Amino acid sequence: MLRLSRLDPRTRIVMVISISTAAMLVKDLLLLTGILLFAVITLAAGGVELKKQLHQARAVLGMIFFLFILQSFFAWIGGSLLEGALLAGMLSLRLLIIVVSALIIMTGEPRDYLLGMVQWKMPYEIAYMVLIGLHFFPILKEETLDVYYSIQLRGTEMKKTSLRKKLAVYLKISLPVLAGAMARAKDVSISMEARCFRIKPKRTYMRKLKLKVRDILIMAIFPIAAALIIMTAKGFLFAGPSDTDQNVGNYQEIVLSWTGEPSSTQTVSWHGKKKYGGILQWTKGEVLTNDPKEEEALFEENANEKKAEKTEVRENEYFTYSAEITGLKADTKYSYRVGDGKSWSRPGTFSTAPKEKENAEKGFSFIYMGDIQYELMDRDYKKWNRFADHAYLENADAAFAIFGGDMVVNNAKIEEYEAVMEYGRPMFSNMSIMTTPGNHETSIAPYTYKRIFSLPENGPAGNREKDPGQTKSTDLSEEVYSFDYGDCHIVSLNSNLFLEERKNDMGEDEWQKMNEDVKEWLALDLSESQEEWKIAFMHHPPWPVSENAEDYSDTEVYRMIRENWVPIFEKYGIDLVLCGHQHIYMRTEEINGITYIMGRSGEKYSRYYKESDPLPPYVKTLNEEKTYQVVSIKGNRMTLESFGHGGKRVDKWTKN
Amino acid sequence: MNIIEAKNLTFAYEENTKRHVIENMSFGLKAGTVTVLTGLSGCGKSTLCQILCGIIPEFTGGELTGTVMLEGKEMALIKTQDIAKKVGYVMQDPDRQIIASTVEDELAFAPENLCIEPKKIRSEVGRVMDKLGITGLALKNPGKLSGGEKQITAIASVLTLDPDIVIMDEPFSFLDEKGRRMVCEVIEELKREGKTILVVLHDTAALPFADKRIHMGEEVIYESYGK
Amino acid sequence: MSLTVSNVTFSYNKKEKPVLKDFSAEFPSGRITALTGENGCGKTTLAKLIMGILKPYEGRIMLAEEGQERKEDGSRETDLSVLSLAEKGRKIGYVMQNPARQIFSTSVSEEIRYGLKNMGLNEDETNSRATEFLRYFDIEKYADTFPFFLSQGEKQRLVLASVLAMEPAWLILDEPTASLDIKRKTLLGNYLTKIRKDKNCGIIVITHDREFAKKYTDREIRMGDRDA
Repeated sequence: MLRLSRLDPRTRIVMVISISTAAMLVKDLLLLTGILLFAVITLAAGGVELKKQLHQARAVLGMIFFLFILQSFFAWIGGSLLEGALLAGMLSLRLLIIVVSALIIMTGEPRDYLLGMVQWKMPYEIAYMVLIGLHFFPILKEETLDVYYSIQLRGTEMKKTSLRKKLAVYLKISLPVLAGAMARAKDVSISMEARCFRIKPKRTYMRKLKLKVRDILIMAIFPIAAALIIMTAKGFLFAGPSDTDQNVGNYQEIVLSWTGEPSSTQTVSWHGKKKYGGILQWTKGEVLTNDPKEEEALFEENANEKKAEKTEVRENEYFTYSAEITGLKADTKYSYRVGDGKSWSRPGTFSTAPKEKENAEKGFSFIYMGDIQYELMDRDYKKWNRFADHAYLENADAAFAIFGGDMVVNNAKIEEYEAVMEYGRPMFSNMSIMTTPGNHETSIAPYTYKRIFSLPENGPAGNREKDPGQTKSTDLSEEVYSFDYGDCHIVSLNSNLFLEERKNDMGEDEWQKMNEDVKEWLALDLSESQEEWKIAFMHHPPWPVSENAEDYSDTEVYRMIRENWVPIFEKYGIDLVLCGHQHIYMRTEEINGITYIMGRSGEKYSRYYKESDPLPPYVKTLNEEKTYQVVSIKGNRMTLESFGHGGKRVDKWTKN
Repeated sequence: MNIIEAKNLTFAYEENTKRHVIENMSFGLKAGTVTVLTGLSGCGKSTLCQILCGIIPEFTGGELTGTVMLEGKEMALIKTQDIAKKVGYVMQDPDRQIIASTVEDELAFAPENLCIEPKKIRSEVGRVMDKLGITGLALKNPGKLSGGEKQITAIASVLTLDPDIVIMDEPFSFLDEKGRRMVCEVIEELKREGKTILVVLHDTAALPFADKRIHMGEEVIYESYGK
Repeated sequence: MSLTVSNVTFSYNKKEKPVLKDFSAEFPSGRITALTGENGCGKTTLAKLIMGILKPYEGRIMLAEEGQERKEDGSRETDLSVLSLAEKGRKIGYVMQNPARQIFSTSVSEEIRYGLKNMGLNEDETNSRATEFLRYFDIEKYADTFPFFLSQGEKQRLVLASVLAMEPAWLILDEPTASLDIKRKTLLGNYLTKIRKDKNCGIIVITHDREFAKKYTDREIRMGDRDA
């Protein structure tokens, strides 16, 4: 047993900082309990009498327990007892860890800590300031009490007096206490100055703290251990409710999309770690209340079922389960749920597209969101969740949503996709989400992205072999596609085709061939479509923000889009192009009949954009906040509105 | 030659007032003697002490006229640290003077401030504790000592610079008999060492071995007890 | 009439030895009792227990006063622990060791009037008493001074004046002469003698000052040495 009090005070400081930091950064209940246990063992092994200390700390412990009960109670009222209790548990554990840390610190004397700090180059004036403050605090307390008693003994009754009178008394005694404290401060400083304090810029110390081998060892071990724990925790648990799915019935990360005709099909995908994917149930109609009985009634009677197909995203670790429903009635609302036959996810809804041209007068709208991609420092998608939630609530009857790529930062990290899907709820699970990959979803090919999302495969054919692993750079499936909704035809392109890496991987010849295939398909697809309105979306912009682009190789991409695709857009009557990539909201003027919109729905803003940059052809920019766009098509009018925080409209554009 | 010589000392805390705390005092302290300073409360005894150890007017301000000579040199021209090495000042209330949490740390405070080598500090501290008989209290918290022990600690804390002159402001006021005896013995010991001592007191009877008395009242009276 | 301490036991800390163990004493009115003993033997502690500043304690501290009606249980005494500090303060004047901690007003005259006002005296009565006591303790000239600026001795006289002006039937004075000079000590001693005689006050003086004790007190209770 090594007495804590024998260690260098700096060692104890390092120990406590390590423990507290780990406690603050770890969000896992189990790990927190582990940290607490470890701290308690440290105390016990360090020769502290636990029983005695716990007894003295009982007021604090009682308060922590009370807080736990209180928070749980409020959580129970708020409807989520389990979640609330878990949070309360984390809070209580953290407080307890702080208490234990304080006990570790208290095994030493303040002056030792200050001596340690001074030896670590803290100016001695500060050390003495703290020391003297601590030294005189109990005396100050006594003095205050004495004055308080005196004023009562002089006949001031404090029992059963009004709060106002009590406050008046407290105020009155604060004066002599302050005066006394100041007088004491003056005397102390005189005494110190008479003994030459601060005469010289430095001072020597009779006692010097020396670090022993055991101190150095502990000062190395504790921070390393803490760092390991923190990294483990971050790895295990990624800021989200998508914990390890313990129950078979816990189906999650549901994403709706279309792989076929939007007016008669619906694809439902969900994700998880289990090998058994489960079943999709759907039925006409809608569950209107939270009543499970109503849900049962709806699904039990009429539901159709389909078993999911499984795609391995990461070997044995993570799977996509999806099922495509066909033969649906157009312009109809359905409810669905996924499960294993015994337990089910909460039901969601989807609506099929109206038969083409039939609803031209009624119109529809869809949501567009540009780059989400949180700054590398802050992968907290919770912020985006609030934003997306709001966008969904304001536009719950939107037909579908389009995403312009760069939803994640690290293309291979499943946790990030998980966060996007989980925090994209309820949008992601109640309308089709049609996406295009950004450069952050792409390595040579965006294979993780393609395994997770299910998208149409009606893109360029030819020798575009379908590669089951979807890793081949030559495989374009689900990267370039189109679909119709109402009187609108929408094309999705993958601008990452123009990236150096992909070109080099394929080889110049292959790439040229692919480029031609895409252009040929695009022209054909657009010319064959009958719809009044035509929209295209891709990640990189044809018209970049400013000359100071982030990456000069990007300039190449922009140029190639303008060279290869824009002429086709112009020839075949594209009205609107949606893109992203440069982390700023932009709208161009109409260029040869096409308006270009760049979106951004994450926190990252453009570092390169300057107000003064010559920016034709842009007419509106917004760098300060994230926005989402809502495009409404009704008859022969298309309207695009952009909304920022709290639904504040920041832009509007119309085309007739 | 007197180790301290004061001539026409007049002092007021504020400038240009008639309210002089000290009015035209002249006296000398002979080296190796014990002088007692008495007077009614509020008459300026503590003020005089602070003048003689250089604190006034350096750290407190105020208007001081007249001269104080320390070992023949004018005090106003001597650096504070040099004065501190010669004159030690012990306040009335040890609780307002002691700042460390062990006795030995308190004693080490003064020499540490002057950047004296740690080994030397340690030996000085040991010497002083030995001389005053408080070696056993070295690691104790001064706040937990008896009144007498506290007062002796306060005295000891100015002795580590080995000053020739020690000024004590009412050292007995918070002490019981036992405490008073202890402190008395210490003062006697200091006298034996040849230090010059000025003690502010109410009660002259407490220091039978005093050589001289200065009484500050309506007028200042100087008495010698002649040996 | 007396103040009776019966079998009082008290310790600051459950773990430490009790400062007072089964201590009993009687302080009759009309007498000045000196409470002596070495530092740490419990004199100040006892005073604080009587005044209710420290608690809890085992045992009883009772006050028998003039004109007290017989209570239900037949006794004529008040258990001090049931009274509030303010109520006790009116019966027993208490002056602590450190005068600075008992002053809370912004001027000397306000300080001495504070207690008198609390007693419900009218304007005239308050003024006359205040003047009388300020004069007696020779601090009248400081009437408008901020007490912070007084010397230690002057502060002590201020507290004495303020407490004594309330003319309580009982007094506990803890080291009242510590900062006083010969002349002022005599004044205090004379005053105590006077009120002992005229008003039959019961007075307890905690002191180290042997001479003062000898001269002005009638009896002495010496409290034992505390074991180291």
